[in-house]
Amino acid sequence: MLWAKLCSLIRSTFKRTEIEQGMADELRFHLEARTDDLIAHGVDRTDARRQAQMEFGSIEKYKEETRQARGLRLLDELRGDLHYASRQLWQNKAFTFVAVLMLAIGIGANTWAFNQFSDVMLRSLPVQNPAELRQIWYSTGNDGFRTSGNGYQRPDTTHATSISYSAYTYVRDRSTSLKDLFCFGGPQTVNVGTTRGAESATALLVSGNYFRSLGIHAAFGRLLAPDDDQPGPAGPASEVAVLSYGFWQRIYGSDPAVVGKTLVINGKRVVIVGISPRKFPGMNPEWHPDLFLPMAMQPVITGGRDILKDPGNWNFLVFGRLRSGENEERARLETERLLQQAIVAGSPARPYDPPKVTLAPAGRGFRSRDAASPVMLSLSVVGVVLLIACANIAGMLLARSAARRREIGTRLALGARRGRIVRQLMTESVLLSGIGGITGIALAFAMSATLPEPDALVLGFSAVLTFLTGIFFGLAPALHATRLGLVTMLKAPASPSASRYAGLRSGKALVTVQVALSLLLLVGAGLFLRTLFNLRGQAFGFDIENVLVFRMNPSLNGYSGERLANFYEDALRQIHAVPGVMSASLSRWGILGGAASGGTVCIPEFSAVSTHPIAPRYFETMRIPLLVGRDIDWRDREHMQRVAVVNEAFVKKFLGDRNPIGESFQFDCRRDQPGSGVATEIIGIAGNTKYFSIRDSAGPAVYFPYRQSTERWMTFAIRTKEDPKALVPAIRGVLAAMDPNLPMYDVATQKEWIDGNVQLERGFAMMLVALGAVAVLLACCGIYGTLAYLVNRRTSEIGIRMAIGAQRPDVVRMIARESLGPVAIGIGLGLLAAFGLTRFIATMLYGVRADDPSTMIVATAFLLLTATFASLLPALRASRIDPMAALRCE
Amino acid sequence: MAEHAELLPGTLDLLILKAVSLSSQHGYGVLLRIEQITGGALTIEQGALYPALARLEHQGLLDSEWGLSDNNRKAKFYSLTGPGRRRLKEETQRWNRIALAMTTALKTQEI
Repeated sequence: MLWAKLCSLIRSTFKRTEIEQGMADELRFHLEARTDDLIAHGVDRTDARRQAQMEFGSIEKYKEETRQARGLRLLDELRGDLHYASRQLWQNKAFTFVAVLMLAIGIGANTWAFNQFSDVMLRSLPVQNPAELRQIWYSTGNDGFRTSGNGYQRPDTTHATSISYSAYTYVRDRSTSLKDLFCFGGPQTVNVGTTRGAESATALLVSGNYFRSLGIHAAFGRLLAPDDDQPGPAGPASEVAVLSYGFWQRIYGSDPAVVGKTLVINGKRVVIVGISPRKFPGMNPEWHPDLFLPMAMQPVITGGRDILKDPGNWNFLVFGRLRSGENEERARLETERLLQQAIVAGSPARPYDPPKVTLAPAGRGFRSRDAASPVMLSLSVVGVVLLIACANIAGMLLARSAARRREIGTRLALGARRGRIVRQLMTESVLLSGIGGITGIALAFAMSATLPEPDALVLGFSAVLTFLTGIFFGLAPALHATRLGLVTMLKAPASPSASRYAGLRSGKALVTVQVALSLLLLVGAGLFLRTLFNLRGQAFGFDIENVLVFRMNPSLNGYSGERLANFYEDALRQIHAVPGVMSASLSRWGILGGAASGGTVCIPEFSAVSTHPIAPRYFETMRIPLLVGRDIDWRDREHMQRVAVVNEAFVKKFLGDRNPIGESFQFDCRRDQPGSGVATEIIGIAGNTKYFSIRDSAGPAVYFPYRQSTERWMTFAIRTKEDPKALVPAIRGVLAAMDPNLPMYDVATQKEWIDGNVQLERGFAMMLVALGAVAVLLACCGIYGTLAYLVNRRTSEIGIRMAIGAQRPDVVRMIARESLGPVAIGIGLGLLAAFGLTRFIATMLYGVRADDPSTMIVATAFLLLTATFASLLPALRASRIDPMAALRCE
Repeated sequence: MAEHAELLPGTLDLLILKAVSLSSQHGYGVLLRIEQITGGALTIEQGALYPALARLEHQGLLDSEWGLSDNNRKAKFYSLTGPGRRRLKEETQRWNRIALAMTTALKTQEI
């Protein structure tokens, strides 16, 4: 029935002239047929026509009723309303402009934020049947069955996703509940020789069935196949690579002819067999790999070590598809049992707890655990902004409805139903929000090229949001405008007594809402500003200015052992000689570069520490104070006494107050054998620095000569006299002269690294400060508008008061007090909301509590100050009212 | 002419459905048919027929199609759809129940 009506309505709408014509034809036929009948019954021709018309009744009335019956009347009214509304908006260009601007910002920001949200939280990967995909997760109390792997630690459990290759094949070959099991390693940096020279690229080692299991087809050429995994009888059967679409565009200018050509990966020549499709970012949308390589390429990626056969190397992420109709719990139990059997088959040396398996739905790919909080925060903040915009537009509409009282009163008097007028006013606000919404959506996608393509869900969300926004800000003013008795409206549009507080109460409520929301944003802005200053301004323990950092990994090109160590030593000597370089050194990861390594010590009790293999002059280069003892020098090398510089935290934690120079500890020892490891002599004590992240506290650290360890890639640190980046070409030249096939990658300044650490916080602080400022400005406009309106209404009352002796300060106080209530309630509500809500961002803050009282006080004071200023202006104007003029007005 | 009675609300739709249930009719034909089957006992303003026809068509109970009348004029013919036929049956049953109940009730009062 509903369907039939809808079809009929759509037909009627689009075939309007046809319908009108048909209706006229039908009625004419009726009249003619009736006339003929009457003539046949002997009535005179002219009389017959008249009688037929009389019997029929009013033709126009029935035509109109017929239209209504077809649902066309509503449509006609809507058209009329739209026409009227657009004329109204056109006539009030200033109002329309401001409202559309606010809506465009509000809805645009929400579209942007929802698009991010949907990308992170909702969107399925562009693969076949994403709902079937499961990822194997596990948790264990003791992960003794593995020597390496990912995971995050809880007090007594480790939760992890990474699995060994042998365990993967064990499960893959035996599972009856999962099919298409595939795996891949973490992203690896590789050195790529292309026609354009040496590049650094991100490679993903994937099982041969990766693309086939996902049901993905190549953009050009072919993707990897299971055969590519199998080493043939004479070494690897096929050395092949698939390029990602982005890499292919960037490096090869989208030339399809590269398929079949070769490129050099870590010194090894491989054939490009195909290009992956543009829309497929990999199972982890955050990684953006440049190359997909088959498992047979594993030794090339990892510098010769065979990690596929090492049962302790748990570094592969495993996915599969749940067979259709399969019971989820049965699949979980089976996978758990197979994984435990695989561990037993690897006969681990250490004690362990068997892992508990979870099969996590993986249709959306997988991301780091903290990807959700930033998008949730943006979404809530832009929601608040839209609310403020709504409150403001509602305020403006209220003010306008005061001006339109007479028009609305007249229409009510002429017999318009209230619902009809409300509908017309609502058409106006929905039209307004529609214009604002379309502008906003266009803005959101025009402003940011990095946005993923909008899909139907995002556009649908924005469309619904736009419509609801129109209803939301329009409904209350529309109801309010039509609420008063029509006599009141017509009688005295400016009468002070009739409706003194009518528009005011709603106006004050809106002020309260705006003040509360502004305060919430201000508190958020304050918390993030404090976080940013705390992070950025803290003592790092070294000098972050004028340090150039970059990484190299010659081991990928076959350097190893002494040759590798010599390369680094030579490189440092060459770089020292470059004009402008004050000193140069290197360490494994650098400081605050987003990665770290750790080791174990026994002094004699077992403990974990940060480890930094370094070259001499590291402390001088980084300007980390060397408090006691000596620096490492080039004589501390292979086969010499193992030495180490430790930091203050190390001394404090393990050695107490005594001078430790000359003492020894066991380095790289095992928990169950404190005597194991290498005896290492402490030769110096360095100041504390942060290491992994600027949010961490400085923990115990051991610096030791890189030549006394086997490190493959290194992070150079170069202290320069001036702009570090200016020396990059000279340094690149020096290194290329040593070996043209070795790229320097991750080139940055130490300062950029640190700024990269606070990028998210900086973004939030800037967003919240900007939006908070806009919100406060809008709230002040609201306060000003409400009070100005009130002064206007009470002009004669103020005149009388002044005439009977009120002084100007009394009037100022009286008027300014009117805003006190709403502002105070707003601040109260805002503080309550802040106390309730800021705890959701507590983990994103640093050095400041989520309910930090001083931030709340400063935000409140700031808001009070601006609110007072906004109320003083109309109050002062009221105090300048001339009593005589005011009274004459009445 | 027979005595005239006002139409009860809602009965016009039922009469129209009944009128087109036997064969498809144009608007004027529906009017004549109603007069015929009610024995002229019910009168309606003729124009009122058309909003009712439009409403029933809008609800999907009637179908319409242009054709030629007996004297070769272009006319719009209405016929009953499947849902229309069902509706006619339901409404007829409902009407009969009410009529029976009313008749019984009124008879009882007379005693």
